Amino acid sequence: MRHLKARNKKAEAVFDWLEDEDGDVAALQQSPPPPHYPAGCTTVFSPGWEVDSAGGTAGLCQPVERDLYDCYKTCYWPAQVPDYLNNHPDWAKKCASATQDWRKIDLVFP
Amino acid sequence: MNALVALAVATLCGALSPSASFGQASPKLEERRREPGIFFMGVWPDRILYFDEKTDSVVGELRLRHGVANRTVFTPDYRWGFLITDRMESVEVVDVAKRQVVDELKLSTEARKVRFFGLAIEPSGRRIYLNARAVRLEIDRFIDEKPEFLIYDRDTKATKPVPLPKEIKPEFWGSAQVSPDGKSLWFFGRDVYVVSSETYQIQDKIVLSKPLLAGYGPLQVGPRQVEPGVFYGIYRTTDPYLKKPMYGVARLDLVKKEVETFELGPNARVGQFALSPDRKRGYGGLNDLVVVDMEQKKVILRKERFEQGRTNNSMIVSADGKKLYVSGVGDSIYVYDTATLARLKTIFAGGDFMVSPIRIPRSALDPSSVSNP
Repeated sequence: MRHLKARNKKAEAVFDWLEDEDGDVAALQQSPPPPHYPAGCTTVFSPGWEVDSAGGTAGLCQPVERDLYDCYKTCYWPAQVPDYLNNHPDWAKKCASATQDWRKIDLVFP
Repeated sequence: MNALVALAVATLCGALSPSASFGQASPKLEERRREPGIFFMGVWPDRILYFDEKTDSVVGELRLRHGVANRTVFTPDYRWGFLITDRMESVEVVDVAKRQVVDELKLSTEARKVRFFGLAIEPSGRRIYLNARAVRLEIDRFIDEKPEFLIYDRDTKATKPVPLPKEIKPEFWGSAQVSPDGKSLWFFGRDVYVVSSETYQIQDKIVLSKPLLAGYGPLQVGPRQVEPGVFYGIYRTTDPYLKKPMYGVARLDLVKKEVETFELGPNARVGQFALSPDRKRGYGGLNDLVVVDMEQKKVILRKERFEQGRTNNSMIVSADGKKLYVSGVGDSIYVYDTATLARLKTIFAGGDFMVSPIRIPRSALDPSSVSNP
């Protein structure tokens, strides 16, 4: 492609697209890099800490308890909840609706 | 390249021709679709509820054996459900009509945990494809094994690895589906691969990752099966002249190997897609919500900031097309008027969702209906 030159708008668009494909250098304000939050549930000890996929809080559930079981069950979201898959499967067994019954959630002592 | 051009041409024809048929189904399917259904939905920790669309109330329940379900698939007649439970180590087989668990499988041993991240079922329900990932528990460490794609035979209780072609990686989360005739496996990635269920060789490939026309971005689709072999979803692509992401509706018919799309305009904050039973209205949501006239192929109603914060993940249109059920996160089902998008009522589901509602036909609740496994 180094030997070819774009002569019309369509050809320029093709060049632009190819450059995007290769991940060319881009100004920071054009496509900000994704936020870097620690992976895993317990890499930081900060109960209640949770961010959304953009690194903020606007995309979180309201109230936050609505999101509790997705953080806990699938265990992929970096929120501070016990580990369902290995260590604390019964942590919330008595609590069907987290927003209403959160008082029934057990305590966990790591 | 010819196939790509043909696909692009077919796509554009679909987009430009107002008379093009966008989803016609058999009379039997049409009839089943227009009858009020039952929502099969799971709530924390181990309950599966049957929610009747006619009365907007729960009419039945079953209990799983090993707690929370992660994935759910059904045989084509919805008579049998297969759910990954037991902290992703078991698959439970549910008799939908009798409301009980009738079978289960588990591959874990004391020294080796095998977790399932996805599953697909043959139409007969006798063989199960599994995206499995194993961890060996050594005395001083864990050994994380490579992901495998397995096939489990419920008659012989035997498991064997499926030799997938190199183009398809058995990724973490499952993306395989079995075709309605059981002869092919469909793998959804950036493209759709059609693989023979006998030889496991690629039979066909539907290209979505390449631009439809020079300069456009790839077709990014999140399709959901609406009827056997037919998927609908919101797609996105980049317009090279406007330099803007555009969105539209895509229909993938994997039986006929057809892809149809039509563009709706500059990007909207929608990801989920639901179709009315008569196929005349489409609904894209849920940060914004757009109502799409599927015949005129345009947006007829739009509500911005329909849901804020984390959105729900399930939209189901009632059989009469007048109500939209939104749910999947938290403990509530929100019912909206499809004409005005005003909320009609909020229904407490009985607990936090673990299986988002799936609409099944009433015939699946009849124990005398077609029964295979």
